[in-house]
Amino acid sequence: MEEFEIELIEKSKRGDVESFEILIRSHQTLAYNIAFRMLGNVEDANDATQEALVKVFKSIQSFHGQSSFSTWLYRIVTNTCLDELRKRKRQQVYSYHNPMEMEDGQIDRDVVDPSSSTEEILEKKEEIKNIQDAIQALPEQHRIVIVLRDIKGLSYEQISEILDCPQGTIKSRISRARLALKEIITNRELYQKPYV
Amino acid sequence: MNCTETMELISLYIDGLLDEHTEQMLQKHFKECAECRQDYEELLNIKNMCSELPMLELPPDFEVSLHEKLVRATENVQVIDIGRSETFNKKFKWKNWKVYGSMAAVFIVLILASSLLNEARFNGSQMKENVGMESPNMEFAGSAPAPEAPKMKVGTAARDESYGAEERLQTTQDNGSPENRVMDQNNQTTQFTALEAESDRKVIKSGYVDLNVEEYDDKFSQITRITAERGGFVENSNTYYKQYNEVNPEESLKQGSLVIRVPENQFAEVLDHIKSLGTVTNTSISGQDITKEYRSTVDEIENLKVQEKSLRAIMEKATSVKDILEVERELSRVRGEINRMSGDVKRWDDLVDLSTIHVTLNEMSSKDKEIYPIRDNVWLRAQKGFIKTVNEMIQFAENVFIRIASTLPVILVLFIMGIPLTIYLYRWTKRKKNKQE
Ligand SMILES: [Zn+2]
Repeated sequence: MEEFEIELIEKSKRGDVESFEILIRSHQTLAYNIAFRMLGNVEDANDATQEALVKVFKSIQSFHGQSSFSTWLYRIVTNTCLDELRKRKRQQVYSYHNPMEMEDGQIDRDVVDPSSSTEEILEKKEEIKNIQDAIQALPEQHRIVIVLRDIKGLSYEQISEILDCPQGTIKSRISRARLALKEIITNRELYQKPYV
Repeated sequence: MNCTETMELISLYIDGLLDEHTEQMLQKHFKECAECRQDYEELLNIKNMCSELPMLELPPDFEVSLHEKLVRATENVQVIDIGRSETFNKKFKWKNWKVYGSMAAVFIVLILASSLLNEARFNGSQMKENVGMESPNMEFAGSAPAPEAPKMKVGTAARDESYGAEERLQTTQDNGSPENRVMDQNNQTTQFTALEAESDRKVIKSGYVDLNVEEYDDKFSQITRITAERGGFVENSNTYYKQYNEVNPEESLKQGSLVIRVPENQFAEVLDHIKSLGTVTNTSISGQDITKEYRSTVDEIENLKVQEKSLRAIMEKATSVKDILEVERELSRVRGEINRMSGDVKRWDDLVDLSTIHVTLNEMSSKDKEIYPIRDNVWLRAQKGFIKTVNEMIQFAENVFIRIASTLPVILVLFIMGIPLTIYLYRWTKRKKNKQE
């Protein structure tokens, strides 16, 4: 761990909010995006990320450098998201068939090449929407590895540390999750075709 | 290689985690099996689509709202929790060890100075004394509670610490002039007024009272009530049985302590009120002048704020990442110092505005008037008995006098009414007699 980071952690342990904010600055966007992909909408993602980061701050006393700070932070973020999903399941308020929210037009700016035609843009948008819906339909244990590996591009090693699982387990879980995702997409395409 | 095996390996193949040999076997299978090849292509396509999903920016108010929550989280730790006094006390002690440490240090210095001078114990701004000992044996009754009963609950670590300082003080004073030990009430008040007269001085007042009381619960609630009435609060309290009577639980005797905080201007009155609730076995008050430390800390904060301002200006001009990190580090150090010192000032303000009174209650059986914990002090008990008997005699005499005094009007009325009646009756019988004759 970097000396700078160690110093910030020590200060955060003494309750220094500013040091803590510097410490998490480089992680909060990724944390927020993991939460967004896990929970499917910006409001819940915002709430969960903030909740998780406050948790990180409150429990920083118990962080003794067993893993890297970022790994520890993302573990708390993923656990908070999984808790939230479990809560939803209990409340039965969430439906897999709810259409996925689009995030205030940001997709157009971020993804779409300005040179592409309107038709291509629409196609791309449709494709993104489809895959987002499919990810939301995955069981949470599959969703989390797809989010971390395929969307956020973390390594097997990082994922196994964040989820606190042996790498072997992670390998087979990623494999099963990808096949499940393919299954969902193929089924939807079959289902949607007659209407297109 | 068959299709099932292939399906298990595709995922690792996509991530390039297979060894060369296995990879070649897989590629060979793809050439032979169109179905597996198609699956592979689809999986690869999905993976690529996933990795192309856009990264969202943080909501605009994210950092502001997070900052508020973090600040609140730190405040929660420092909040004064009256309900759960034990947990509060731990935090309180942890946060204030510096203050208590410096208090103890000031006391020690004071003691040394006073024993050297051996006269003026009170130098106008700092003082500490012990008042109204009933018996020298009882001096430590407060700091060493009766060992007979196991404590049910312990929660007065901070108080014990302060008592430690007091004990040291008492020992030194014992070596010195014993006549200094006994002070009267009026003196105390004068000294405090003298303290207050010096404008803007920051003095932390504390009082200690050890009481022998009857009806523990009643006295306890009286103290809580008066505290609340005077705009104070009970910071911490604990009660335990010092003697549990299994046959007759109602006769069990209790012991306990309270730490109360009252507005500084109510200090003397509340202290006097508490003293009136029972027999005072030990009492003392102390005032710690922190004006100098207080002012230098406030100045230091101002300096740091200026430093912070200039650092922020440098930050705006900084261009390289290395510089930014360097300045940010320095800034966070300065901020941390400011926060720590502001915390000290806040705590001092709190200690100055709200005086602390430590009360220990020791319940006495109301029936036999036994005095705990010195059971073998026969002379004192005899003295008590004597006083009690004298009081009872006075009470009896008073009662007789009151009876007589209160029936006096009735006698008077009867007497006044009786005289004409007797005269009339006398005359009437006389006339009757005369008639008969
Ligand atoms: Zn095959």
